[in-house]
Amino acid sequence: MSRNPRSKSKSQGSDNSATTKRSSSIYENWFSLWRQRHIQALFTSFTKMKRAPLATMLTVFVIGISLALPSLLLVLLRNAQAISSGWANSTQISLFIKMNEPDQSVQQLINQLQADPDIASVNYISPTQGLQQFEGASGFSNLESALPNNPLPAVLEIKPAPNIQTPQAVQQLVNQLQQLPQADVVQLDMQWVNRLFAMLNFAKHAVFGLAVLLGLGVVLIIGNTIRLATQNNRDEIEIMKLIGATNAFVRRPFLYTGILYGLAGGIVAWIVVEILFLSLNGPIANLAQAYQTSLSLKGLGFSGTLLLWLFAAGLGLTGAWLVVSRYLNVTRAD
Amino acid sequence: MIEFDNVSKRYPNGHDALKQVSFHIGKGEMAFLTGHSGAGKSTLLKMITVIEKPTTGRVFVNGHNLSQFSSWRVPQLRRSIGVIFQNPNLLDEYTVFENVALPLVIAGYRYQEIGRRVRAALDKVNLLNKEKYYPAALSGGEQQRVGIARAVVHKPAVLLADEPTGNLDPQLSAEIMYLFEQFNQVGVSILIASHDLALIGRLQHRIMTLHQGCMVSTGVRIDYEQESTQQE
Repeated sequence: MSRNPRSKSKSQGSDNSATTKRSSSIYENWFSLWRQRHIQALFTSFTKMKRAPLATMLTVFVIGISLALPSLLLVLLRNAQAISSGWANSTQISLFIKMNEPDQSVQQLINQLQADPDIASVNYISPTQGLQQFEGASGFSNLESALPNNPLPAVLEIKPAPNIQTPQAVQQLVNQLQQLPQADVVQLDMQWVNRLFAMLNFAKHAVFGLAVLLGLGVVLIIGNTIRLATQNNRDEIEIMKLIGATNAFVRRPFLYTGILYGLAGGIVAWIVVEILFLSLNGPIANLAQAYQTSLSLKGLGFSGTLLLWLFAAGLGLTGAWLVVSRYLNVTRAD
Repeated sequence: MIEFDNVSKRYPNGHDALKQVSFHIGKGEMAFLTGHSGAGKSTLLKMITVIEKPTTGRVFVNGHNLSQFSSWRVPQLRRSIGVIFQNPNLLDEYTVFENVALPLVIAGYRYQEIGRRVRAALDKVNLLNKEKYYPAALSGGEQQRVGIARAVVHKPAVLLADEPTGNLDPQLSAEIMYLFEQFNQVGVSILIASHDLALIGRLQHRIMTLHQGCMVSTGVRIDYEQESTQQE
């Protein structure tokens, strides 16, 4: 009962619907029409994907695995970089002081180095202390009395400040220390850190290249899937265009299909990465315990996950856009 | 409403589908287009919906010169025309309701408005009780009526039909024609291509005849036709 008068009043106004629409806020109408069209397109593409669940699942898994591989490698790389940057920080520089350098000069050097902002700490080891340490470590006792005079030089153990992180910066500090008049030899066991950094740098480029390649693969997979969909819906597209659908209207559901494929693939990739990390965390913890350090892997995290999904959806949109635009341009010539 | 001015169409393979065709269909007029298959009926209808473009000559629909029509305005034009095909061309994956709603969805009508108009159109073709059916579950005549409902649901000023009764028995064909006459009575201009001479001969409407691409007869209102071309 209550519906009747309402529909009646609407039917009276419907003849002037164009004018009444225009008289109310144009922006509001435009926006709600835009929203309606997009919800519609999203719904259309969703129902179409649901109609062929097996094909959809297969495509989604292919995309998911293609995305999981580079994501996994990127996350591992990020972990490796995080761990190794800690190692670069723990670098220690040994400054051997010239033999027979007067104590006053050595004390002056220590003060000078401690004031240096690039240096975190300076630890002085006198020749006597050095010899005691050597005795303790080697097991030879009474070396001090056996030797006519102490052959060991005084050593300063220097730790670089936290802002000195890259191998280049550490090397520069070493060169500066080498210039000091009291310094005999400055030693830095950095070669392995250097090599590690070079390897990580190489790995970063390799993983990046792989990610680009697999991303391109995802664009092609989605593009091909959408191309098949346009061919299966050829009659529908033709009929819709014949009754006045714009290219944008025809294109929209396909673009949403691309986005949905990408997003679903991204979610699969996320699940794969998280499962692998959960299964890796146990062995890694055991390994770390064996080395008596605490080491835990960091997964994708919130921002990483979000980025992966956005990136995947973007790839889907790109693939769909490329194919559908081309398809519509070809059919326009009819 | 529809005017052809010396329109010729030659396909890329050299076939002349239409040769210097001129005619005029006024507002609210109903006319039949007849001729053997291959005489150019379909080509003529396709030009009105800008599926084909004339090689020479000009086509006017609703006052628009289609030869100067830019492609982005074509959808807008098509929304002011209802088209009915020999094969109803329904979308099998959609229900009757959704099929009929398609032109409204494309034009961006609101949902409440869509429901009201679709039911009004289905009521006119007597299929209100089948709105939830899929096309495959309907008979040929019913499918054609769904196609008609889809063509008129957005109240177009012009209705085109290409052999709408080609697949139907005489009884159903007569019913369909009666439907068209009803639409014509409320002011819709209608052009129907048909070779069912027995049927259209019984109806009191203008009959235009194409023969091998030439318009050999523009029907009863030749005087009106000449007047309008002289005014040009």
